[in-house]
Amino acid sequence: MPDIIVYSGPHCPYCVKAKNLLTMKGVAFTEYNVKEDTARFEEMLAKSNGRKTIPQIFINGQHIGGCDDLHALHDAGKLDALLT
Amino acid sequence: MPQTHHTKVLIIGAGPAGYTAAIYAARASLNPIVVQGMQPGGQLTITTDVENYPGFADIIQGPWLMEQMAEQAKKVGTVMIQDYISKVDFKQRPFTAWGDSGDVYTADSIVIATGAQARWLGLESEKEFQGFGVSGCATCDGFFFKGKEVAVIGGGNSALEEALYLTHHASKVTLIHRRDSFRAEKILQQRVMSNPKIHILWNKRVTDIMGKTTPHKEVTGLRLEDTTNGQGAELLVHGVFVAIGHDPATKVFQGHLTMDESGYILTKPDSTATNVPGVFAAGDVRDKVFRQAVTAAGMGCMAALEAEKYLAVNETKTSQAA
Repeated sequence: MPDIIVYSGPHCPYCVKAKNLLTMKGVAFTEYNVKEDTARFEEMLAKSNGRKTIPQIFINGQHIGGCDDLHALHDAGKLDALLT
Repeated sequence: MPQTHHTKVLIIGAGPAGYTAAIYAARASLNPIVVQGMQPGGQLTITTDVENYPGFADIIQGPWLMEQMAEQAKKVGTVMIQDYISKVDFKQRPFTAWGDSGDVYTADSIVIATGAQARWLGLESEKEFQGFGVSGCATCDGFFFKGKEVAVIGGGNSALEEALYLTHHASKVTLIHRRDSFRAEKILQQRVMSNPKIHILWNKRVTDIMGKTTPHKEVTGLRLEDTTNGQGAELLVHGVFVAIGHDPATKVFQGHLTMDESGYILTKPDSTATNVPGVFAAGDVRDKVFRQAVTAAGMGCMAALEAEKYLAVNETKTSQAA
């Protein structure tokens, strides 16, 4: 199983949309609420080179980006390879 | 294992139009299936306060309203499936739609209610700084701009709602609009104008988003152009929220249905019927004028009633032919 981290928070439909795609692909992921957990927020900023929007998604340590980036990968047919 | 699902009414999309179509179709014993897509609940899931949906004297929350609609549709017998339709065939009967999950859906009639998606400015710099201060969702990311100065671009309901929401976090919100008046509802305009944290820049077009890359990438401001005299200006902000409108989410139906040049599905007058008999379109996919939750819901109802009538007539034809 791939190691997937989703940094997210409440009131975030794009987080839901990104997580839906992952769920649809049948993969498990770890989710952190960065609006409540400052340490995780700092960790997200450090790992994403300062990207300050949620969600921020990491697959096996690789920074994917936000919801649109995840969907773009999927639309280009490149997501499945990352999830195996 | 991929499955094949057959239904009398396949509803593609899960906003007010799709859920209302589902409620009516289920109550007509048509056992509808709703394929919810990537954003169950649709655009209302990114709004907060809703005070123009009739039936609720007190302010309700958009996501809650959509959960209730989904629950209501389920309660009367709708099957909800979390899948994303990526291909359709409307030439053969029954109609076929293919889901991303690998599942296949066949249907005697179809209601398209895939809604609309947010539009971006289309600037190179916008793409470059997406996530680094450029956002399309105030409720998602407004939190990260506590005490900072931000800008909202747009002049419709969404832009004004985003600006008002951002005043809870940002120290100053500049609302930038390319015209000299807002399209948004009067009540929102009044709230925006009377909010001391919101400043309005009229007749300004954003020509570039400025930013720096060290020590880390972030937005530093906007380059603006006055639409009346072409004069340039700069505005220093840490965040930019783009709310300039929506485009219909109809790409998957291109070449299968008649659309206008902007991608809106064309329907017959006073009807949700598309150019393919048995395929109906409701909500923001066919409405570029009103675009309200309640008008979308109304069209969802029309689509289900029209699908019911279409199925009844077709069944009679089939049994007469047999």
